Amino acid sequence: MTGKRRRYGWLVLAALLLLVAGWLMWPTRSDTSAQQREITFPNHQRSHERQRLAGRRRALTLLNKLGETTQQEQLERDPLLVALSGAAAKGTHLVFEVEALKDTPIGQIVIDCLTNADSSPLDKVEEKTGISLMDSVDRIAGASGLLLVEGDFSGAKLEGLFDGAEATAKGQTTIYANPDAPGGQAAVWNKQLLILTRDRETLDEAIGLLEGEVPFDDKTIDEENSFGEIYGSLDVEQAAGMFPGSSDVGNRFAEAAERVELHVDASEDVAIVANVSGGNNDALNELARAVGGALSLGRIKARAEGDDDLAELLDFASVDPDEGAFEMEVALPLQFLEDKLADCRWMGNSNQP
Amino acid sequence: MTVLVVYMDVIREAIARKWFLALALSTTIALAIVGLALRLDVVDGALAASRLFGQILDSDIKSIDIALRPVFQVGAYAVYYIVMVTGVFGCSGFGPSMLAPGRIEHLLSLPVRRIELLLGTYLGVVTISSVIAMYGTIGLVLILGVKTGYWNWGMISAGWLAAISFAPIYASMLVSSLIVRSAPFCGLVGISLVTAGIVAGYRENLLALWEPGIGRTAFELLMAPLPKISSLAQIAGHSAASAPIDPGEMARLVAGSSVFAAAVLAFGAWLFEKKDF
Repeated sequence: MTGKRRRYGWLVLAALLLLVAGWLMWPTRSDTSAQQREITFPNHQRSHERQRLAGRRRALTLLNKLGETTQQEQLERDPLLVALSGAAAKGTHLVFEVEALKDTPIGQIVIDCLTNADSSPLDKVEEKTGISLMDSVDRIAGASGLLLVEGDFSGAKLEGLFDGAEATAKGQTTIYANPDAPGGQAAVWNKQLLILTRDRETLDEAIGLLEGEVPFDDKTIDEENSFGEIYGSLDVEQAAGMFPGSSDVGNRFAEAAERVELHVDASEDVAIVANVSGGNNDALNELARAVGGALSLGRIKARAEGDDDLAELLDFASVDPDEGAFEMEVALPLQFLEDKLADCRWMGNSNQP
Repeated sequence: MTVLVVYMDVIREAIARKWFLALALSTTIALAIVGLALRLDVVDGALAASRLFGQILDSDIKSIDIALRPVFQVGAYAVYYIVMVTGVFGCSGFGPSMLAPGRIEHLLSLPVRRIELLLGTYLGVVTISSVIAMYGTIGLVLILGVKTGYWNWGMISAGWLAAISFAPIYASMLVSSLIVRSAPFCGLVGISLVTAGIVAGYRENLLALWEPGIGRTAFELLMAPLPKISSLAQIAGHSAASAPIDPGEMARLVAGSSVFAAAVLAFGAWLFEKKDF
């Protein structure tokens, strides 16, 4: 009887354990990995960016530069990039897609700082000109001594920008300048492009490009490269200075690189793609290896210092060498940038929220 | 103590079988081929290029551990499923051989309880499968570690998970030999359970395709206690690739598989106790 009871004890135990096993594994997820970060690197023009570019192109009469000769031609081009091309040829130029950046977390941090400041620069501009940067502006671009703001300026009172400024018309452009006062100059092209410069020479160059009076070089800014929320090209010396703690890599960068093209996607964490090109293939290959090593060391350092967020994002960092160029992909965590920007110190005021 | 004697007997029998020597030899050859064919170009902690049989696999410059993730992931999956398949076929004979006429009577005449006989055989085979899994994974870790200077200990946990996953499979094979004393039948049970375990891992996805009803509920209940072979394989792959894993999910699946093995062994103990030899 005891033996029989013991036998059935095994059976009861088996049934109970089977129930426990079912309970433990109920339900099961088909994907057993922890939530993995998704990073989209802006390394090509996406369909919405192609549509965006197509919508921005206007028929312009440009003095097109064809080798050594120039010829006036009617071309479909993005006016902002045309106006920017003159100053862009001299060094760094960057284009900020304000409309797209407004909806990003990092854009929101910047807007919060600008709007919550004691004397908000956005309010000042609106008060003087009637331009609401939050509602009217689509893009802002900057290059050597030149700032371009694209948007709807049909109702703007731009005379208010500078004391005593007079409005004069030239083709599709209205120029606002005070001939008696040195300093800021402004112009509005076709009520959609505000051109701000420090000197008259730069202003005349930008207007001349749009009005077909100054030779336009199509190769300076390739329209097909206008993708990401921030894009442009960096001065090599400036880019070399971005390698803190690894001056050797910075020096090598300054020696081997000739052009650095930048694309930034800020939709979540900030994903950066830099296309570096130069004339010396061997030097660039060496540089690509050195940059890859520096990124690897940065990741190890972040891990050692317990910055898992940064280390996780540096997992995505890579360098892809090609003939005479290499592409570098780096991502920065939103938290990292929040820590740098959320106190609004970058505006020169530490008391901001 | 008696369990240990049975356990050692199983280990001795495994060593005596040429099949296991062949398995060890083929694993060694596979590791040597990977070791000789894979050329890795490492610069300052970053992998500049990897070549297999002279062909460039990847020219991107990335941190070594990131660049090698696919290699470790594929290695983990390979080791995991090789352990499953070779374990099923290589170990299918142990149960029927223990129950062979003459031998079982001899064993039962010794001062050994039936449950000890069952447990000793089970633990012996689980040890053998663990050794195979660990040999493959540690071999891969050593080869890539020597070549790159990067030692991926996460791969070891992939080998450990393979051994854990095989344990409930072998428990079912051993118990099935108490019903039909045949090595092919044991193998069939083992391979069927591995297949069912792969399906069970995708239970939630499959349930989404079914209309509510008796069939759906029956499938849900049937799959619930089965070891989730494919889910554990995924965890092994992620672990080897240093990708983030959900430790709670892993603990739940490992515990569930172990409890399933215990349930099957308890059922086997009931069968063994009531069986006349």
